[in-house]
Order: sequence, then structure tokens, then C-alpha cells
Amino acid sequence: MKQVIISVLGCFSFLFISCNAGPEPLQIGKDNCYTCKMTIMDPKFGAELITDKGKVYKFDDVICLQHFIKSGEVKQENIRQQLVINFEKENDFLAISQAGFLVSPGIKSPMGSQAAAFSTREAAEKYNSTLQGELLSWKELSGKLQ
Amino acid sequence: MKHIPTILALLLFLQTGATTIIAGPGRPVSTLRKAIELARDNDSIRLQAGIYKEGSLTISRSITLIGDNNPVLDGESKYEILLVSGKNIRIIGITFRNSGYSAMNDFASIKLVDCSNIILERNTVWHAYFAIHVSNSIQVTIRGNKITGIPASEQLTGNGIHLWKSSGALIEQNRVEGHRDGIYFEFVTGSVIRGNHSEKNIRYGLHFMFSNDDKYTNNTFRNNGAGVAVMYSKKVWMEQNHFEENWGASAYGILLKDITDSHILKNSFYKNTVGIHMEGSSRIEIDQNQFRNNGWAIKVQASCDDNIFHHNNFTSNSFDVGTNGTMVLNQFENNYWDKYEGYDMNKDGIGDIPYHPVSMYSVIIEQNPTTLMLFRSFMVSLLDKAEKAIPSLTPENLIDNKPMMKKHNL
Repeated sequence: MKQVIISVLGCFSFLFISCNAGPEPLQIGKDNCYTCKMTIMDPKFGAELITDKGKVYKFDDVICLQHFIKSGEVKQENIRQQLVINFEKENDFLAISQAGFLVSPGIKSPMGSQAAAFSTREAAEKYNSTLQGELLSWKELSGKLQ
Repeated sequence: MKHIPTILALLLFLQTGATTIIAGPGRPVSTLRKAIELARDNDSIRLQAGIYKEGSLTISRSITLIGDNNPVLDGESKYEILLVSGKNIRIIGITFRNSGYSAMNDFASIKLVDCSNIILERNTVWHAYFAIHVSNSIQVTIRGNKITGIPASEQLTGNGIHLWKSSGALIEQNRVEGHRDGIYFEFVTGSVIRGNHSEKNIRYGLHFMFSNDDKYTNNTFRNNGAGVAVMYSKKVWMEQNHFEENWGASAYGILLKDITDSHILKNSFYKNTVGIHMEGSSRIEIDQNQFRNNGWAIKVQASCDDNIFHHNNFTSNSFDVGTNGTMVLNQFENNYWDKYEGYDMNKDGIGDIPYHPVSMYSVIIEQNPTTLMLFRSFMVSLLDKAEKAIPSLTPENLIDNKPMMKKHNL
């Protein structure tokens, strides 16, 4: 009897997993940026916004995320998560509030934000030795992006 | 008068001053690197046939480099082959292959930085990350080059012809295939793209961003991942181009995003999922184009205004016009629609009742894409007929008041 219950529970367990909405990996060359409609091609850049209902919006550059938030299409209170792609690792999502951004004209992001995201400030500093850019938090950066 | 001999002597000196260096295996100057070192302003280098593996080379003097019998510069998949930075430089008839890849820098087979008055002609670029990369330059002519990327390396491919912050460029008669974007413009003004052939690129055949006052004519863009994108630009003139076979969930003949004051005329759109997709665009005149066998000939998002579509031919498209709103701020006039079922009593060649290019079904699909399953079913055609008689869902102002009875001769 116990085994039956376990196996029945096992059968339904996928339901619980599928409810757990998280970031969806960006499919390079297939997914489009929601704001600028461009096909996402550069695995070093990108962002995602997830609503409280689990809908995922994908972006090729943080500036497109910023435009989307400003447009008010999704209300501030309905945003569950905002994520950004780690510059150093493909499809590694970082919480946008915790990421460190390096902004420099030497960074050729798809839509011209010139911003790359790193997991820590130190990682960003390592790249900055050649680029001579600015290290910013998302709060500081989003204020600058128009 | 007494100056004449001096001037003549000077001219003679200038004449002989420009020398031609012949470089190649078995010659006194056996490497291109040596030849570039020896060359002074106005000299020419004739590079003989052979394979040259010389790493990265830089040209900064005003010289002409000509390949005799197709010499090959091989980057051994490590190096950026040729960096050009100067003025009055010409590079003709050379094959570049296997240039390197770098995650941080845009490695290119030929890179032009801070240049003016450069001609790149009849070169072949094979298997490059970026093929030709131009930045901060004026008066660059790129003519008759053949550029082939190897798409097996998918996302690690750069653009074929890439221009950034330049002006007065002429891109002519090139063939580009297998790159990310065939031709890419960012912050490029006053330039012309003419008679090129861009095919099988992974993303766009042509990609325009923040580039004003440019013109592209007589190009063919075929079978690219997502067609052609013209974005965030003003005063773009697009004439007599062919947009063909761009199929896919998000493929367009042209994607127009935030484009203003532009003119699209005499182009042909054939077999695209969407011929023209417009978003946030205004004051565009679209006339004398042919839309044949497309899924949607035109999709106009509600964010567009003041655009005028006139004297176009719409034939054999699944849907003529799609839109996502009810507000209509665009004008349709004197187009030929093969789905028009009206009559012409006064025989002036113009249909007496207006044509509604947006079918009810296309409105439904816009809101609920999965209903595409019912396409060409009996119910759908019934609904479409009913809607035509008594419009309720379709935007009632989106009409062509003067639909043509006969096809325009384009």
C-alpha cells in the first residue's frame, strides 16, 4: 500500500515542479527580445523579467528591460523577478539587484547600453583594467539608461 | 616661366617617387610584412599568388595593395589578419581566410579604424568571425567582395560587412552569406548600399540601427534567419530591393521599428512570413511595391501613424493586412488587392465600394495565435463573409477607398 501511495505521489510530483516558475534559458538565435524584436544572438548579454503569474519576458540587453519596465506594460507590483545574464557565463542568470555592472564604450552590447553584468564587483573590476569604464549597481545604471 | 623646368622635374620626381613593390615567394621581397614596411605613401604592392601566414598585419600609409592571381592571407584561426588605419588606401583582389575569434574584441579579417577614403574591392573573405569591420571612418567603398561565413559555428559568428560610426560609405555589388547579419549599420549616415546579395545569414540580411539619411537600392535579401531589420532611424530610402523567402515564426521581409520620414518604393516581397512589420513608425510612404505569396503582406501595429500605402499590388497573400488595434491612423489608397470583390459601374478603373484589407480572422489570430489551426475552414470563411457585410470586429476605418480593378504595371 505504501509503495502505491509513493508511486502515485511520484506521478503527480511533476505538477509541483512545473508550478515552480523560474528563469527560462535564452535560446540564442531563436528567441526574440520582447522590446526591440531582435533575435537574441549574443550569449554574453540579456535579461529576463518574470511576472507573479510566471510569464517570462526575454530581452537582449538591459536597456530593453529598462524600456519595458518604463512602458508600464507589467505593473511594478506584478514583477516577481528581474534577472540579468552573467557576462562571463552563458545562460547564468543573476538577480539584477545584486549584479555588478561595468559600463564602458568598449562593451558592445546589442542595443547600446554598453553595460555588462557580473556576479561580483571583483569580477567586474578584473575586466575593467583594460576598459576603463564605470562600475555601477542596477539602481545607478537604470537611472542613467533612458 | 623659369619655374617650368622645376615643376616638370618635381612632377617627374613624383612620378618615379611612386614605386611598385612586387612581393611573393621567391622574390627579393618574400613576405607581405616586409613589403608593407618598405612601402611609402603612394606606392603599390603587387602580391603574387601563394599562401601567406603572417599573423596580424597593419597598413597605415597611403598604399595600394593588389593581389595577382589570388594570393591568400591565412589567419590560422588565431589572428586578426589586416588592420587598416589611414587614408587613401586600396586593397584589391586578395583572399582572406580563417581569421581568429575573440570574445572581447570583434576580430575581423579586414578591420578599418579611423580611416578616410578607402577602397576594398574584389576581395574574398572565407571563414571569418567578422569579415569586414569598419569603425570611425569616412568615405569607405566596399565593392564586389565575396564573403562567406561558416554557419556551423552558429552564435560565434559576427557580421559580414559591419559599419559603426561612419559616414559616406558605399557598399556595392557584394555577396554575403553565412554570417550573423549580412550587412550591419550602426550610427552610419549618408551612405549607400546598392546591388548587394545577402543570403542565408543567421539573423538579418541587413540590419540598420540609429543610421539616418541612408539609401539602399537594388539589393536582394533572401532566406535570412529573420529577414531585414531597419530600426531607430530617420530618412531611409529603400528602393527596388527584393525581400524573398524569409520564413519563420518571427521572420519578416522588413522589420520597421521606430522609423520615421522614410520611403519604401518599388520593392518586391515574395514568400515571407510577414512582408513588412511596422512598429512605432511614422510618416513613411510605401508605394509601387509588390507583395506576392506572403503569409501577411503587411502588419501595422497600432503604434504607427501617418503612413501612406498607395499604388501597391497585393496578390496571393494569406492575409493582406494585420493589425493589433482599432485605431487607424494610416492611409491606404489606389492599391490593387486580388481579394477585392467589388465592381466598377462607372468604368474608371477604381472599385466603387471600399476594400477592407483586414479580415476578421486576421484580427482573431492577432489576439489568439493558436486559432490559426482553423485557417481555411468553412466556419472561418463564413465569419469573414458575415464580417464583410456587417463590420463589427475589424477596424472600420482601415479601408482602401479607391481599390484598383486592375493590377498596377510595376
